[in-house]
Amino acid sequence: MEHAAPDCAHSPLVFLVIPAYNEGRVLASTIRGLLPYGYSIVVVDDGSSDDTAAILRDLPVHYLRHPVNLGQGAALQTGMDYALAQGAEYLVHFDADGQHPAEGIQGLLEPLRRGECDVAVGSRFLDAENVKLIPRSRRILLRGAVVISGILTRLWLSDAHNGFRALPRAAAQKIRLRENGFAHATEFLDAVRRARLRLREVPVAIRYTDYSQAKGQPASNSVNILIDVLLRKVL
Amino acid sequence: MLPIQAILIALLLLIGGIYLTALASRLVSRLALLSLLGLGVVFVVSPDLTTRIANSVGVGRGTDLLLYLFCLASVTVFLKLYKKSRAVEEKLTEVARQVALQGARAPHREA
Repeated sequence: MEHAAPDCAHSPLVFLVIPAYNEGRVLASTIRGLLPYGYSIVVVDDGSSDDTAAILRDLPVHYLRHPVNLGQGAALQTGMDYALAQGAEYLVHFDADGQHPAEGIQGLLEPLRRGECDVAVGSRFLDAENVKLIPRSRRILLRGAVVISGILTRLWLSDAHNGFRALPRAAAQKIRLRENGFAHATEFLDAVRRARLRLREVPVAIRYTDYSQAKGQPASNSVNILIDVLLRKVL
Repeated sequence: MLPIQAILIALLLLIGGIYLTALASRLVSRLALLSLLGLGVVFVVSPDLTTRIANSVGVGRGTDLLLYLFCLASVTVFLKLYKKSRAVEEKLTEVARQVALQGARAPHREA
């Protein structure tokens, strides 16, 4: 984008939005890994019942808390509203459990800064080495999600449900997530298409730790998400 | 009049009374409810009428016709309620979001 400056690599005007629901300890280590990069970090505590608030007290992050649990989509939107109000130039959706690599942020921002696209999303499927990191069952599920998401949003991506995304201020202002739960991934793409934003996929590796596997959405949940998405389309 | 007819009519009137006094506020929905209740009473009083209507549209028994209509009405109610709960959820989200934004804590030191 036009406001790209040479020192942007460590710009505090890059805001990472991290939704967190009962992620306590792992969230703290995710954030410590991010601090050296100098980005602004916005944690949206989605009504956690654990000690998230206390753990984050001594970390230099922006901390917001939903009084009740609303869902990841709602938390992302709250974080984006906040970041925009703080004057963010770039917004990055980042996962609390540390599965997104901090060094990947730069890769997402680059095409945005060069003005080559308006939204950059990470993809686990663009690089054969990265695909190997994905557990087999996940791979099949994600391939299926790609097809469904393609039909619903008419955006054909290699990786439909990757929550690692970056967008500049102007694009973020055009997107409003109303889907509170996990169906926001599809909704996000739908909003991208409606706003005629140019989307680019960027290869990223996702770290599948035991924690993220246990914490992530179980495969069975995909049916629920699909129903949410469909109901939303109809009503 | 059969005992069941008396019971059904009494219940219809009771439901109508509750609805009119406590729930509906718009004139249109009140009128719709009154005519629906009236229809219910008519059907209770002369059950053969439903069968004759059913036959005229190709359904064997009046009971079956009522069952079909009941199913359709249930689905409609479900969709209306779903839509309403979505609307409530969106309002709740907006309130929670404002609370979160107002209570936001910036970093102690600039990162």
